[in-house]
Amino acid sequence: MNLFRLTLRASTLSAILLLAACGGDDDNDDDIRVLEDRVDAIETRLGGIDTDTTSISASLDAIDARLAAIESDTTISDELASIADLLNDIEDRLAALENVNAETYQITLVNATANQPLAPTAIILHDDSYYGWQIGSPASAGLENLAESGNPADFIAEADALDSTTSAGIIPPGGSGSVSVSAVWREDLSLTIASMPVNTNDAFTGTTGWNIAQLAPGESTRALLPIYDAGTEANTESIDSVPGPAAGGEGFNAARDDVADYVVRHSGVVTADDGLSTSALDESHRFDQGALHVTVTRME
Amino acid sequence: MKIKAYLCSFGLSLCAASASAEIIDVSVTNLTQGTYFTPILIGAHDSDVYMFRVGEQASVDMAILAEGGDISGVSAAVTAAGGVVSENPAVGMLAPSMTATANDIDTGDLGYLSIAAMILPTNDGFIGLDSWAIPSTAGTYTIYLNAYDAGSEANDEIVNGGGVLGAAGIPIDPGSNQGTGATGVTNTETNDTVHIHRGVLGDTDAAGGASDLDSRIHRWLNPVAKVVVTVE
Repeated sequence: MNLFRLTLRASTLSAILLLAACGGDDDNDDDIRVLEDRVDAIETRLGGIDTDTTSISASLDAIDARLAAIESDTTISDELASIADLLNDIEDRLAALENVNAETYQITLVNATANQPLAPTAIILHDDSYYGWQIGSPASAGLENLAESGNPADFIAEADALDSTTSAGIIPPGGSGSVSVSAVWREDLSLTIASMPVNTNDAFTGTTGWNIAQLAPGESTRALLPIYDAGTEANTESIDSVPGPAAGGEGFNAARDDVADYVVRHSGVVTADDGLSTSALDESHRFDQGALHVTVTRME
Repeated sequence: MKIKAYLCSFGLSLCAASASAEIIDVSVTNLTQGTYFTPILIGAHDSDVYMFRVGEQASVDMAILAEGGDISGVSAAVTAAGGVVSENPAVGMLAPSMTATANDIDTGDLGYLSIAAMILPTNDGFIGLDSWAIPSTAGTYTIYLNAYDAGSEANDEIVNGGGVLGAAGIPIDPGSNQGTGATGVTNTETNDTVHIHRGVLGDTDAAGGASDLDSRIHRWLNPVAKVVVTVE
């Protein structure tokens, strides 16, 4: 956001310098139009702010008047630079107001499994243009990495996020953790959560596109998230392929050798105790649906 | 949904008022093929009371319920904390596929509903509902319950009559499909908090093996119970 604005400033400045080097412009309309466009954009953003913005509106009116006054002037570079500075200031004040308007959501995670530590959990706040996976479609490279190694970094990096974070570390069975994410409220405000139960080949627990916009300030909602199979690694349960403490095997491997390369609900692990002699898992690593208990609270 | 959320945001008083003096019916259906529910406890209570919570150690009363099916301790605790309870709507075991209904529970201004009952044959498995918000709007609401493990006893899967708190073993299989002579699936409980039950292992050796349970009969998958709440 800040980088973007700095880039804008730099390009505006170079346009002004270019203008000065040319010793003036026959027609300032284009340059004025750029500034007017910014004024329009700011007015649009003002419409989305609940608090009093009278002082910003007054500053914009003054700029409009000055732009109108210099429309036919041939020596305007100083004036343009001055106006650009003013707009920069207004944009900074606007950004501060938008930050004040952001809603914070606290996400509390409880590992509900018997004996499956949950890897650092990806928490992504987003609009309805993003989803983390689809049943029947291949997992993204980031989701493959998350589900095979437990590392959520690539999955988060892929996301078109309004905000994102990661739980503080591995959550052991029965353990819990709490994190917060923030964004300006919108009616398609949604959560995506994903974490690997580490004593598996390529399982992940989570949800994607969980709309949380209907929560009022102070309200909470709960969910018990199911376990999916990423479809990116065969469920051999072997000691060299399961990365969790039950085996200590390999994490991410780019090869896709599952029976089908798409995301589905997980059917559970077999384990050595139930007849798969090559499994590094025992009966304690089995699981039924419901691995991650999540409470989402919109803070007041 | 959105409108209701906004109404509630105006103040707790509005929501509390609309929730007062509610009469509800609660029916519980056993969705499993081969397990039984011992006497079912249904309780309405405030937000600061709960029977069990995922990720927390079970209370002694809850462990007694999960290991032996005795609901009296949890029931008394809910009542002592200002809640109301309905005990044992099935009058004994709720067999596979059967439904039991508790009628006309006066929940007053209590906002939350919880349910617990032991699953047989298990060591310390139970069906659970933790603090479901009772709707203020009249209607019929369906909830599906999961099987939980109280985390208080190792799942050895030996049917030996052991139902007293701390005693190893499973009290009984009401369906009489248990085997004998099992060596035991495990003698440890790796997670001593309430968690989603990993399921029973079982085996197909009626006269030995690791488990006295039958892997073809006693297993289940979530959800294990269907609850229908009718708000009048």
